[in-house]
Amino acid sequence: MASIPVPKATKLVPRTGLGAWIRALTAGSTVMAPVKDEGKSLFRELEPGEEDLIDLHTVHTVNSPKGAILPQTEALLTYQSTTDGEGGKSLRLEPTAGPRPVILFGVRPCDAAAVELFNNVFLTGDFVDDHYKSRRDGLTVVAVACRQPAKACFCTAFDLSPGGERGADVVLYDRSGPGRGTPDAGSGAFYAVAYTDKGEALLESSEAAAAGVAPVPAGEGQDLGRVVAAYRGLETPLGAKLGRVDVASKLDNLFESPYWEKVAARCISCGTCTFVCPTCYCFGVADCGAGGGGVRFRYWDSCKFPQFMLMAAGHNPRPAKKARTRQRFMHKLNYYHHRYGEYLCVGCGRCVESCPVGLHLPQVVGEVRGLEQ
Amino acid sequence: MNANLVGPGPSGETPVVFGGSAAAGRLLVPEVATIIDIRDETASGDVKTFKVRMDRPEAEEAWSHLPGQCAMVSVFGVGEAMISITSSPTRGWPLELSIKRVGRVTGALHDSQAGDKIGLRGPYGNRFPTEEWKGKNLLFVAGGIGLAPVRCLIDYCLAHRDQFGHVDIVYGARSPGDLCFKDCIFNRWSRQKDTTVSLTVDKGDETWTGPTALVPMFLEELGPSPKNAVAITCGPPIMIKFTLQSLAKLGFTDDQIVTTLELKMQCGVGKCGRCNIGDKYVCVDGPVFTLSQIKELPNEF
Amino acid sequence: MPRKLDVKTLGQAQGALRAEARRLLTDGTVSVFLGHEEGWDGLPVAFFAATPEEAGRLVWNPLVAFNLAKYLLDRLAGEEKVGIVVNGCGSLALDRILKDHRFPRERLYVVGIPCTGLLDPEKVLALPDEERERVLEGGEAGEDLYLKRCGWCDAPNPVVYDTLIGDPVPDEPVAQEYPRVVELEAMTPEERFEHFKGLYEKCIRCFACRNVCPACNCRECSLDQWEPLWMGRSTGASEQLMYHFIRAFDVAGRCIRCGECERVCSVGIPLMELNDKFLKDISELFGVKRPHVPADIEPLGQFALEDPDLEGAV
Repeated sequence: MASIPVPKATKLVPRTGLGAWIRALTAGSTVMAPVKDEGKSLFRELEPGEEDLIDLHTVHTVNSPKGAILPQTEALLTYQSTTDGEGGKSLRLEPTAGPRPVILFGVRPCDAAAVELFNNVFLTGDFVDDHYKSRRDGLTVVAVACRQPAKACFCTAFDLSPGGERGADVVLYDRSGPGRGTPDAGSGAFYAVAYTDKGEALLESSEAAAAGVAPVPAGEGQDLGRVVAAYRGLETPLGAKLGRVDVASKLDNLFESPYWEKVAARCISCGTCTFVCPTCYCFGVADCGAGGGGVRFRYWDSCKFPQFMLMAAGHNPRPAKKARTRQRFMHKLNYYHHRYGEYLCVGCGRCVESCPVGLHLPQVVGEVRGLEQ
Repeated sequence: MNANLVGPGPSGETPVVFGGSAAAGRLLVPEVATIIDIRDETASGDVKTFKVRMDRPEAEEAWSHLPGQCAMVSVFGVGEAMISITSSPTRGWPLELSIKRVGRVTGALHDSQAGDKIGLRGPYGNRFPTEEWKGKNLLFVAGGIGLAPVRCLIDYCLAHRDQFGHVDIVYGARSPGDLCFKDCIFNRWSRQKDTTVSLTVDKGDETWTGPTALVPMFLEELGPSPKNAVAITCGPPIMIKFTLQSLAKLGFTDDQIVTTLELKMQCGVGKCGRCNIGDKYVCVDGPVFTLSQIKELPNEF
Repeated sequence: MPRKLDVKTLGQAQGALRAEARRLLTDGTVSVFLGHEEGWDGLPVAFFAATPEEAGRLVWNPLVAFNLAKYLLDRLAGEEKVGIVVNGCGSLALDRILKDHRFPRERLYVVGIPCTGLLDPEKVLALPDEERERVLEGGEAGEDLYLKRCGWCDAPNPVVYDTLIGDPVPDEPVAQEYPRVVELEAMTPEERFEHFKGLYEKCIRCFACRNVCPACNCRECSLDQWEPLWMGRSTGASEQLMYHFIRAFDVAGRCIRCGECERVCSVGIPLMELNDKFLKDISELFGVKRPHVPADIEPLGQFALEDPDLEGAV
């Protein structure tokens, strides 16, 4: 277990003050938060006046908040070509303007940790992806600890926890501690713990104070410690069943296993698992325009789509569902692990909840453990 | 209800641009370049060599590539493709890119004319480990358009001729008309010191007096020695497959054989996940691999 | 109309299904049998039994919501004969594939089981343990737990089969109603445009709706093509509308009203609205009472020189 960083600041946020605080945050940043929308909890940009629609009860939003750092469609540049009277050509390229700072409010610790896994890809190596970096630099993450992990949760299988701080600037812990149901909206409060300078600045701002973000009452320090520890010690239902994920090296020798054919049979080659996943980052690049001008953008792509690797000359290295299904799980559980020393999964459980045919990572981990090498 | 989800952007014809001021960086933003000359390489016109220059002199100055590396070439409105650089860095600007017409981007390039603007970014990828080859004999085996990346390397090695032993170039194509870089193969290279060029075609015509044989068989007939040698091979997958078998027959070990891999790429900088095989990204960890390195990768190319 | 779940009959059907699949796999009638088995979380998942022993893993219960027919397309290459189990709506999906000439009937062996109603697996899984047990073992399910499509189902008995397990259930006509379409039709064009734009803006373009749809069975989907590029890869409003409108038009006249598109949509877009509009139009314009049931002659699926609408057109 990684050591717990020393908090930079701790505050008390009354539930009744949440709306005002969020309203204050919206002034300087785009706030994205889980919102109840026709029965589904979705992560999206909060429109003015929607502060009270924030859904801090549902554990999983259907979509992950990854769009804040890697939008499903993100303009990279605009282009305009022109021809002068003599037939001379010119081309003007304009990188897109940098994004407005984003505050992710109410993400779960698993989703906050997922942002860090993106950093490995986009910020390390010989090339820093500066479109990503400008979004990441402008990002502040206010996570909320899970009072009661959902049935599909398994963050603990990756050494994360329902009260973890990885990737978060501030974590909100409901003062009543872990438990069932929603605490009374009128009386409750959150301990807000800042783990980074950014988080500290957020909690210490005058806007926060104006909204009722107050010091933790004297004498309550021990309670705070106990509550935070309780969240951190919480087990997850699927995590308990799965145990600590440990299959990276076993998978080294299972590329050719007939298992992949079997498990892939029921895949319908949609991209649901990859698109709801907070850690899947593969993208494509395309142009969109007319009359010599337009936009070059990147867009989420999925290794589950048959055309993902199709080459111009017609060769497709992964024409079969078996190869594509294997790629997704090998990438998360083996390849990425080799490259960056950790798994590309935070155990949020969205693939468990959203896959139309019940084909998901915890199941594969369980089955891989049982395979002969 | 008019949800502005994370992901799908706000409504409108163009993709989402979050508002803001500070300009984002330029990693995926190419330099503007101009096609200054287009030359047919093959009789059928399916391979053309494009001479290109960047519009900003500073950008040309900042550019430095080594044999094996590639460039991302953009035709705006169509897309971007990873193309191996055909000209040796020792020859400076303009850069030469020899391109076969296969898909949308290469098709648009083939349809363009001198004076047209394109985008160029890079160079990307690793390079041929020429410093490890000092004092060794070099055997180049190429087929068809596969000579493009190898041509850059041959020119580079010949520019540093004294560092290497004997240079053997074995090249073949489907027909005499499909042989690329005719000036190099018929004139320039064979005039170099201690350098032989051996050509073959699958099927000759009335003008062809040379051998007609598939590259791998031709190679076996020539029988180059693996002693103190490195074999560099590049070409269509089927040729590579049999060439590797021929090289093994001749006694070349997997460490002595170097080739390049080609996969679909979108970013070229190890982010987009497209060219991921095992724990490698071909765009940054390749395209140059020894056969022993390739054998450690999952068989997915 | 939601049927009354009959748990006892379902249990008997499961036994008979296993026996029949075992027989087919043993005597070599089929080399693989498409059915369901119990998945990791207890919900049924698609299962491809390849040996007589594996036939023992087949399950049949009120949660087998997933249509299996689409998997036949994965097995187009080859000569093997394939067994498949269908209930009423499953047989409509299968018939869709057959009527579209996408799988040869002679390579199929179909085991049909009359249906007493299916429950929404997601809703059942969300129930507290004791309540779920009551539903699944006692058959006490509230109307809201049934799949939406059970509400308008008029085909509880398989329309295609070689072996039928159990007795047909009473098959009463159900008037096809499209309340959501009535609301749509009452809107002004501008309101409708805003309505659909708002709906499809949520789409994450995962293609689950297309890939699960038995009527979306083209060899290559035009939406996957790059040249010509029918649909751009961005998720701007115009591309979202393009995606969903093209899809609705492509399945118009072939939609079996199974609602699987809507059920698998992770962001909850009511995708059947448009499909229902086409069904209602076909019903009203061509006088087809059951426009969702595949037929040999379908209004949008055939061409005849004596078509009265052709008059003066040529």
